[in-house]
Amino acid sequence: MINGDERRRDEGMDNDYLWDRSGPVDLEAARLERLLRGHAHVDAPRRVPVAPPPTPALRVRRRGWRVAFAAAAMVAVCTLGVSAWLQQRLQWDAGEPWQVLAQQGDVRIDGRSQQATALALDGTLETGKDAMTRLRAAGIGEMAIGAGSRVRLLETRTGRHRVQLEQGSLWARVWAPPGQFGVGVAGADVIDLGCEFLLKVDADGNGSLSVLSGWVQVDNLRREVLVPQGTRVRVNGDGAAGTPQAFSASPAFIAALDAIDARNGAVDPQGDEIRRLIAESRLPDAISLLVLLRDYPQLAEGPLFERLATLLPTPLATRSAWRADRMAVLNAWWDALPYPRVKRWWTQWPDAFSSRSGKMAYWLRTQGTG
Amino acid sequence: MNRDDRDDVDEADSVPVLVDAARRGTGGAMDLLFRRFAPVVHGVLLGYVQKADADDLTQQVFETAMQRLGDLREAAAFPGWLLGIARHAALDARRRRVALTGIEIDAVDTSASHEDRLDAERALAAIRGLPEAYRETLLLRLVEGLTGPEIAERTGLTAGSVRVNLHRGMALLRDALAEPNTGAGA
Repeated sequence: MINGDERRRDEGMDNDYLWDRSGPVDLEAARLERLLRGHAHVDAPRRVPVAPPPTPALRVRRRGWRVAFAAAAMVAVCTLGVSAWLQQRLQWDAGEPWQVLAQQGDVRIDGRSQQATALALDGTLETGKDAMTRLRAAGIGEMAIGAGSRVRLLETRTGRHRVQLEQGSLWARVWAPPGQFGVGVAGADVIDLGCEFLLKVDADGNGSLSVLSGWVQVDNLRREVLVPQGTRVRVNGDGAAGTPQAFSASPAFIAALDAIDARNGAVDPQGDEIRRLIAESRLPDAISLLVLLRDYPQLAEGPLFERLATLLPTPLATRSAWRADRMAVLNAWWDALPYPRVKRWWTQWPDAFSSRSGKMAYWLRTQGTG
Repeated sequence: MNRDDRDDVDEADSVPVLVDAARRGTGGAMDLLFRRFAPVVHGVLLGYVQKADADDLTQQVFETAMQRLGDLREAAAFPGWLLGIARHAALDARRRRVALTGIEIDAVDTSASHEDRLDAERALAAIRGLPEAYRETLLLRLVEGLTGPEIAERTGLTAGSVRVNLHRGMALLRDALAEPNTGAGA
């Protein structure tokens, strides 16, 4: 049943023009045809899809997921493997002896001159003239003792390993979180921060520390010094540690630095020692200038401040900033130093592998100045 | 004698014959189906989206249809099935709200006068405001230029339904255009 409106509309059902363009022209329909013809479909060839058929595409997608899943699984397995290996490396039973890996010449442990296989807790290892021995430093690295040395194993357990170098030379290469390995000498404690280093002292505890990779911290009664790779620092039996200096520092620079250290920084900021130091300074010497300014801030009144600002440019290095917040300026300079970050100890991963005996023996024979 | 696959079908072939050939992967059959049904698909799409988008969607609808041709159980149902895909694509495009081509106003028939273009937009807007059955039939007749019998053949509707839809739709359209405020934005 149709209503009145539909009946009215159906009255024109005999409009043949609207149906098939036959019969009298419907002017309104013709006008609309003319107006709207521009909107009609333009006869164009069918666009042949270039995409592959759906089934192979699905296979490709599925294969992609499989590859991604396999890669993720491989990464997870590798991460678990590395984690397990690191835990195994750091784990050490309290008091477990350190294994002797090799020795040559006269090597004695606890006074006995025999073919030693291990250094026990509280044991003392001594080497004669031209002798040398190499040990495993718990599970975290290696240690070599040069000729004419005496070393005692003070403490060894997971997370903390300490030896005392009473005299002679000690080379160590450690790959572990900072602070796990340390060497005591007469006037200071040398703490590994993930590194390779060479320590040489005489019977009075005077000598030097050379850092070959990473960072080492030297603590004594007066100063705490961070020593980066490529630098050396003097250690004294009386507890006075020097300022780090680059292996490549000039003799004149070293002489000026020693003179300033000898007076504990109590020098004229405009004086001759400072001017000689500045005249000989290069980028590798920036660590020396930075430690001087940290420990003897009065030196910033002289040209040392401008020289360090030139060597390590940073927007924070202005005198007004220094007066307002000295630590902020020191930290900015510290971050600008060209060394690996202390906290990223794992980036020194080559230290996790055994050293070549020849290279190690070379270090022990030299003064460790590169 | 080697025959190009286009030779396997003819323009006079019925829709089921062309659909079956297209299912076998005959490119010529696919082309003939496109040429025969592209104006119908375009007209249906024009009820929902702008011309530029309708042009683009027409190709997409056929790509989709050719890929899913295996799902079509009855070849004779191809016209209705195809228009279902077209309506779905149009609604999907309209839901996205943003014009596919970025063209907001139909830029067509550049030879037409400004007044004619305004009248065309107004008429198109009025048609788009009609119920779906009338809207699609009028678009196929007045825009795509198909006759009633052609519309019936290519939509799967009966001739009687098309005739009713044309006349009732035209009557409603006359009423809408007679209203003074009916415009492109309506």
